[in-house]
Amino acid sequence: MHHKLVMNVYEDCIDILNIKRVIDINKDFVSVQYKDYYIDIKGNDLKVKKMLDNELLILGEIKKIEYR
Amino acid sequence: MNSKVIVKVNVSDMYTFLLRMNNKKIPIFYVNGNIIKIYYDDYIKLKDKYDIEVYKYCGIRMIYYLFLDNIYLFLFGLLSIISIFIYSNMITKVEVISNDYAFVSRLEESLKRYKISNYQMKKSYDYLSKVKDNLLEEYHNEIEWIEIENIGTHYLVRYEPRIIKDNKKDNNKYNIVSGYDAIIKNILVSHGEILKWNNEYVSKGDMIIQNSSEDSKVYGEVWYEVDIFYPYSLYSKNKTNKKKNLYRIHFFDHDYALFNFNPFYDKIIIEKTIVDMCPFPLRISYSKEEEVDDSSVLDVLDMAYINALEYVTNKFDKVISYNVLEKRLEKDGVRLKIFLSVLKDIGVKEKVYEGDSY
Repeated sequence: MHHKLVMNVYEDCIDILNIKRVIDINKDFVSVQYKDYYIDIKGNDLKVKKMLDNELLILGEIKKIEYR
Repeated sequence: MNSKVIVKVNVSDMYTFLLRMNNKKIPIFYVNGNIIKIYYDDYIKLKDKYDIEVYKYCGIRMIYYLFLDNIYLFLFGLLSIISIFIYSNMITKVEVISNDYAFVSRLEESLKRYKISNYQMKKSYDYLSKVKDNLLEEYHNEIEWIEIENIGTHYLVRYEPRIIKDNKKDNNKYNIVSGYDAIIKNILVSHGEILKWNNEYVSKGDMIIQNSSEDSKVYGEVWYEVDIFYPYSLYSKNKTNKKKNLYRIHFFDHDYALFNFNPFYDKIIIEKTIVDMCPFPLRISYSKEEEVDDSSVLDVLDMAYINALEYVTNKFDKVISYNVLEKRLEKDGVRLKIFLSVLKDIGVKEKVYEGDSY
C-alpha cells in the first residue's frame, strides 16, 4: 500500500509524512527518500524533534526544499 | 507491556545516532537535545551498545518504579490503614451500667463467653440481637430488658432488672406479747417500739414490742417442771473376759468354726479374712471371740434414767440447765421429776388493726 507524501511546512518547522527513510541529517541539511525520489531540505540550525518509521519533524529555519 | 521510556543518550554526534536509529527502524517519539523518548524494548536493545541512561519511565512502568522507589512509604501507609481499620473495629471497653456489682460480674462473665469483652472485634447487629435473646433467656428471673449499645469503640450494656414482688410478705403490724412467765434473754426485731429489755421479768400477757413486723422474735428463759416415766426398755451387755481365737470356714451362707469345742452362748466376734476364693463362695477367716452376758439390773436402771433425761431435754429448743428433783424406781420403769430452765421463743403476735390505740 502506497501513501502519498505529505509535507506540512511552517515558518519554524517542517513535518514530513510517509517517507521511506532518512538519508542524511545535518545542522543545515536534511535529506529524506520517498519512493524513488529524494527531498533535500536546507536551512539553519535544524533540530530533529520526532523521527518515526515514516515521519520526520524538524525544527529550525527552512531556506530551501528541493526534489531530485 | 511495551511502555515508553525517556532516556539520556551520551553520544558525541546526535545526528549520526538519530540516522542509525532510523536505519534500524527504531521510532523516536520525542527529541530534545540528547534526551529521547523510545519504546522500553528498544531501550533494552540499545543499552548495551550505547551509553544510555534512563531519565524517566512512562505508563504503567512509571507507576511500578514509583512504587518500588517508595516501597516503605506505601507499606507504612498500608499498615496504618489496616491498624486504623482494626482499632476502629475493636472493643476497648465493655461497661455494664448498674449498681448491682455481684450481678454485673456475672453478666460480664456471660458476655465474655459471647466474646464481648476488651480487645475483641466488634460484633454485627444480628449477632448482638442473638446475644441479647440468649442473655434474656439465661437470666430470665433477673433481667426484664437488655440493650447492648455501641458508642465508638465502647460497648455500653444497659438492663432493666426484673422485680418480682413478694406477695407473701405481710405488711401488717403486730404487737409482740409474752406467752409465758419468763426472763427476756434476746430480742430480734427490725422495727417497732421495744417496751421490755433483756434480763427483765415478764408475766404472761405482758406486751414486749409494740407495732412490730411479723418476723420479730423474743427469746426468754422459761421454767418447766416435768414428771416423766421411762420404761426399762434398754439393756446392756457386759464382757466376761473369756476369749477365743478361731479359724472359720464360710461356705455359701453357712459358717463353720474349727475346733470350737465349748462355744459361747453370747459373744462378740471380730473377724479378719485370710483367704477369699472369689468368685467361689468359699472364704476362710480368723476370728477373735469374746463372751458377753446380760448386764445387772442396776445398770439397766441407770440407762433408763439417762435416756429419760435425754428425752426431756430433746423436747425443748435449748436447755439452759436442769435439776432432778425426784427419782423413783418402779416395777416397769423409772419415774423422774425434773426442773428445767429452757430458752424459748416466748413472743405471741397480736395483729394491730387501724384505729386501735395503744
